[in-house]
Amino acid sequence: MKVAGSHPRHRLDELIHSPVRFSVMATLASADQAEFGFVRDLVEVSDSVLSKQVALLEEAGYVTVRKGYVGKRPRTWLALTATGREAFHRHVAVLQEIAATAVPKGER
Amino acid sequence: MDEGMPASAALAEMDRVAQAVRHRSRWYGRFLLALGAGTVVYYAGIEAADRRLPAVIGLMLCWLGFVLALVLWAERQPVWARDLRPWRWPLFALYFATVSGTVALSATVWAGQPGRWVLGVIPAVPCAVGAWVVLRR
Repeated sequence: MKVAGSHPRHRLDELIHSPVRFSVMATLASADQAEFGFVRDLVEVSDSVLSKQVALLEEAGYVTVRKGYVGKRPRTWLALTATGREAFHRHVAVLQEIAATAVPKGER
Repeated sequence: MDEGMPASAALAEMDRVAQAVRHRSRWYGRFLLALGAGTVVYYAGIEAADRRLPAVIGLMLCWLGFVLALVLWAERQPVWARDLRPWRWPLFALYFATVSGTVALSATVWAGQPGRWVLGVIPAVPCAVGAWVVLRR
């Protein structure tokens, strides 16, 4: 059985393709940096889910995590690395390719 | 959770979050507006103080407090949109250059002249242009 094929989906980044991680990457792709709480609220996940997903992205070298303080409040800042940004752009290019080749429902 | 989503849904989600980031980054426009307006007020205040040292010192302290408050407020903002990156340093450099130039002018060529506060409009221009760019996105 042939596993890899010519369909663009084979070029999707498995790590980014998960909905939560995709949303996190998309948020960080439009931002220079974003605060953890902002990303959590935008992606609509809990702290623990976001922490887990961010840890996976950080491990892959896609995201950097910077901890700091604003006044006495601890804040965590997330940002895409150059590798992460490149991987995300590649992933989005494949998505666009798939979307462009998809047959609209009415034309089936 | 590890199931992917359809390409069109993913692209729509990308647009949604990009829009949210853009919207939450509008604070930078308000920051620039406040800085520009504060600059004009400060120049007007300095002229009104008419070289009375306590008044000038008081105004300078107020100005420092105002700038510090703006910076602290900026620090608290949760996101910086990436498309604003090309604007940040050039705007800061232009603001700093125009402030330096107008302070030099008001201390030399325009020293003691009425209407020196108008010079404060010059550094406010890059702020206003920056705010317009940020807020109209």
